[in-house]
Amino acid sequence: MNVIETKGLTKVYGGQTAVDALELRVPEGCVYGFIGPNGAGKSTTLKMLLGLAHPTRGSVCLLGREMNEKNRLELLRQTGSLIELPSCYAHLTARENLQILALLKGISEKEIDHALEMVELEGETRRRVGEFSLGMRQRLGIAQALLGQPKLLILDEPTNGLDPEGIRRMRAMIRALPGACGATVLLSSHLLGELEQIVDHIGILNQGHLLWQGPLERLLEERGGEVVVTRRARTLEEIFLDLVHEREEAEKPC
Amino acid sequence: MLSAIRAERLKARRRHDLLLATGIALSVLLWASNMEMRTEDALASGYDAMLYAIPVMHTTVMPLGMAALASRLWDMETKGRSCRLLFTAQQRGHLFAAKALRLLAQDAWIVLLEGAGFFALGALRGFTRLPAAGQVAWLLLSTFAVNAMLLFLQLLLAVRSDTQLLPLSLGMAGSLLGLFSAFMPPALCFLMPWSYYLPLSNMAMNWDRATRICTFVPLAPGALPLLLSAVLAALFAALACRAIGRREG
Repeated sequence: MNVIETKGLTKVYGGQTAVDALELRVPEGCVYGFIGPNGAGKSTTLKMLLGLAHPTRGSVCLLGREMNEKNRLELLRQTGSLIELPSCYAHLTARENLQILALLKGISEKEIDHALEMVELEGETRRRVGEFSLGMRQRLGIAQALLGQPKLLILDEPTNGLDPEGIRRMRAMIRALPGACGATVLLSSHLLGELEQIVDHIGILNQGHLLWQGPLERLLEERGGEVVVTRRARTLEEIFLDLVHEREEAEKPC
Repeated sequence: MLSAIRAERLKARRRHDLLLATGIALSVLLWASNMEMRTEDALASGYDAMLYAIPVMHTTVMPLGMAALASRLWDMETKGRSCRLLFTAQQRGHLFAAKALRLLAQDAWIVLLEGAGFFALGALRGFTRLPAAGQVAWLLLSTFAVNAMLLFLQLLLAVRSDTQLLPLSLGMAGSLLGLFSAFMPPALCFLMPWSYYLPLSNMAMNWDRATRICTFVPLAPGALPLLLSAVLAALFAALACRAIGRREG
């Protein structure tokens, strides 16, 4: 089953098409890397998946059901998200921030400790978020996404502001999520080297068009060149740039 | 909806909004306590003098005060970039309704404090003739209505602005306009929401140049300005609700 499925998903802002007839397929239990250059339409797509932006055309199916205004919140109760920067109240503590979300989503307060432990913020329950470093805030954003052990996680640049050790921990945590709690993860990031180590499926977006999607292994087989000792000759980053340039070349007027 | 209201209460921790609301009411009462009343006649008409002066004070204090309350309430969402998370967990309409209720509760607190302070001040200063209960009730009701209108106007501006500079500046301008509206033709006051306290005032003053004595004359309550305040409050509330509904997370 596909946990996320879009049909002709399109968003037009003032005559400019940000996302064009997108047919996204995210299989259950995978970590799906969603990549594209700046302005490709990734964040707009993620916002439409969460009902934060209304599609101009097309539809979104989450967890096997077509999302509409009536069932949107019910579906999103089983979905955790972090879009770009974390949403948090600086005058409150991490626990208080999570309490608000737990209350609105109808999640038991016991889950808060679990979420704080997962991002290693359990010792910071008395400090206000305003005193947190960028990395700690980012971890709080992840804790918000993990609250209630959702079936689907949508993470946009979750490693923003994290130090190398934080990135390593985050990578391990995301990779473990499908196995640990059966969650499917849709992950958008610019750090392609990082993504390559985490994801098993990939979708490449450019100028609102989906250039490629499918298992990462297949992409590497198709476009990655020969295997050199233990790894492919070309990295995901190189393949990504090739695909984007090919598209731009094809669109150039003769 | 109940969870939205409880969430607003959680968000209000350490924000000291009630303290600000208390400060707004106290500043009006402090100003009113400075009115010079020493003669027996003045003490007899002390409550009437306050009924006349307080709406004038409101035109100066309330626009800025209401702007501060509404801006603070929305500012935490702007600074926390919290809309995108809240909109995945609650109905946008519920977020508006919870904010609106919080603002109305603050408004009610201000009016209650002013009502209590009005009589406490009179007792402290030894005013000898009690005012008609209807006159005081009208002052409180009209204050609540105009405050609510300004709170929703400011909430609308706060939701539509990325920073709170514009709404607060407009609140400040409203305070100045409100003050100067006392010298403007009454019809002009209807064009400025910040000056509605004056057309709703139910006490007039006669100043006799020859005797240099002030007398106060009760006026019939202005049902039209009250109705207009309520209509504008509902309009601004609907627009603020729509602005939240249209806001992209």
